[in-house]
Amino acid sequence: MTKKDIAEQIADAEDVFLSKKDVYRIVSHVFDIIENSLRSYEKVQISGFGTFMVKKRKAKIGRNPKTGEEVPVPDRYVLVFKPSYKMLNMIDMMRKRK
Amino acid sequence: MKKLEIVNKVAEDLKIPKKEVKKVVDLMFEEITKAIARGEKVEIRGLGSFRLKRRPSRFIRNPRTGEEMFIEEKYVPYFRMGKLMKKALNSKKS
Repeated sequence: MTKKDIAEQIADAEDVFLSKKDVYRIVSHVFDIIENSLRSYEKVQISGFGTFMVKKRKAKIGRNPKTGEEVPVPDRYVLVFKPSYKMLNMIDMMRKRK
Repeated sequence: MKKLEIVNKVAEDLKIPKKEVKKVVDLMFEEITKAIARGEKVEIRGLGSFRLKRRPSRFIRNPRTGEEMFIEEKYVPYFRMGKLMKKALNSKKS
């Protein structure tokens, strides 16, 4: 599923009166805003869905699993997503219904 | 940043009524959740992708009482950041 698929499904919902194009513009813009916020290391909290946040991982000594050679891994930033309980419950419920 | 702030900004930038924007934003995260639950991969270019992961059932032992418990298998969403995001976060660091 991509942004386009998401937009198409929403545009088809009966209580949405916007055009497919406008829905796509909204979906796309929402992700742009989320991305921009994260790029400045600010977390984004979507209630009912989850939280995106940037975390710092400390430098460590890695090892090449094939050769056993030690490789330094510098400090780095990762984007993590923490699902909300509502989302976890929804997924659990949908899986059990099957 | 919270959902409401995003809704306000989108409504302002795109000149679409706030009420309509909110409806779309709520539906959008609902659709993503549903797709993940169905086992579909949801890919947002640049940001990353969501997948469903299975956590197998297992036995755990309460370390204090030694009591054994059975934990049923469960499915959890899993997010992996995109390459572009990884690059952006690690290039301009101070």
